[in-house]
Amino acid sequence: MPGKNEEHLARQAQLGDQEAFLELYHLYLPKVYNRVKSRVPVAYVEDVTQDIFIAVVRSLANFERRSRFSTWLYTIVNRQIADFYRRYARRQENQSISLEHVENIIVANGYTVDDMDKRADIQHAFNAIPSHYQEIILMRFADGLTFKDIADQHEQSIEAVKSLYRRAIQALRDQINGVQRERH
Amino acid sequence: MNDTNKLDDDLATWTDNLLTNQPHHPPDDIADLAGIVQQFHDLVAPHETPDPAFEHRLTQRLKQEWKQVHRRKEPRWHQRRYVRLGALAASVALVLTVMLIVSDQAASSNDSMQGTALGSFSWALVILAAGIGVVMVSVWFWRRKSPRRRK
Repeated sequence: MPGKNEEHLARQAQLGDQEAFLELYHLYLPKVYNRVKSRVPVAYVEDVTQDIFIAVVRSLANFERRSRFSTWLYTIVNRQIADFYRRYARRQENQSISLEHVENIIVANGYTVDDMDKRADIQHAFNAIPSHYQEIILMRFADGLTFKDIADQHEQSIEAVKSLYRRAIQALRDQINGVQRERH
Repeated sequence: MNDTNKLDDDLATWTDNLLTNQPHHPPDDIADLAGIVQQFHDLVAPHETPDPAFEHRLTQRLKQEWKQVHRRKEPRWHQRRYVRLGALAASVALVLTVMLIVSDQAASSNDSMQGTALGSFSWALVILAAGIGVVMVSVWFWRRKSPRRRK
C-alpha cells in the first residue's frame, strides 16, 4: 500500500534520515507543484513550491502523525499559498510589481497575456469555491487519484464521490461565470 | 439510475478519458461542465512535471536547509562532558582534602585540650555530611546541566 510506505518514510525523516526525506520530496513534488499551479500565478509557482518544502523541512519535527502525512503536507501547502496572497496583496498595494516585470515572466513561460487572463479567471474562481470542492478536484487532477482511490481514502461510496465532484465543477462554473461578468 | 446519477457518471467518465488522453465529444447534458473541466485541465496540465533545472536547484536548497536544521549545536566549553566530569572529580577531591585537614586539626586540638573522643567524632560527622551534601549537589547540578544526548 503506497500510503503505508509514505508514513514509514515520514517517520524515518523525522528521525533525521535525509534520504527518506528526499524520497518523500521526490514523491510529492509533482503533486505539490500542480496544486500550487492551480492556485498561484505561473510566475510565482516555483517560489511558492520552494517555500512549501522549506517549511516542511523546518517543521517536520512537529508532525505528530495524528493524521496522514499527505494531510499534514497539504495543510502546509494551503498555509503557504495563503501567505503568498497576503504578501502579493501588500506588494500590489505598494505597487512594487511592475507590469513590465509581469509581462516578461509571462512571455518567458511561453504564454500570451490573453492566456494569462484566462488562467487568472479560473484561479480566481477556483480560490473562491469551498475548500472541500477544491480538495476533490485537486485529488483527481493534481494528485492523480482515481475516483475509486478518493472514495477509499474518504471511506465513502464511489457514487458519493462522483456526485461531490460534479457539484464541485458546477460551483467552479458558477464562479467563473461570475468572474467573467465582473470583468466585462 | 436517475438523471443526477447519470450526470455524475458521465462527467466522471469524461474526466477520466481526458486525463488519460482519450478525449471524446461530451454528451450534451454535460457539455458546459465538460468545458469547465477542460479549462481546469489546461490550467493544471497534470502531465507536465516541474522543470528539471528547478527540481535540481530545489533539491540542493533543501539539502542545505536540512543540514542547517539538523546541525548539532556545539556545546560551550563549560557544557562539554569531559569538562563537567573533571570539575566533578576536582570538587570531590577538594572536599575530601578539606575533610582530612579539618579532621586532623580537630583531632590535634582535642588532644591538646584533653577533650573527649566524642568531640572529634562529631566534627568528623558534620564534615562528612557536608562533604556528601556538596557531592550530591554537584552530581545533581551536573546531570541537570549536561547537554541532552540525542536519542
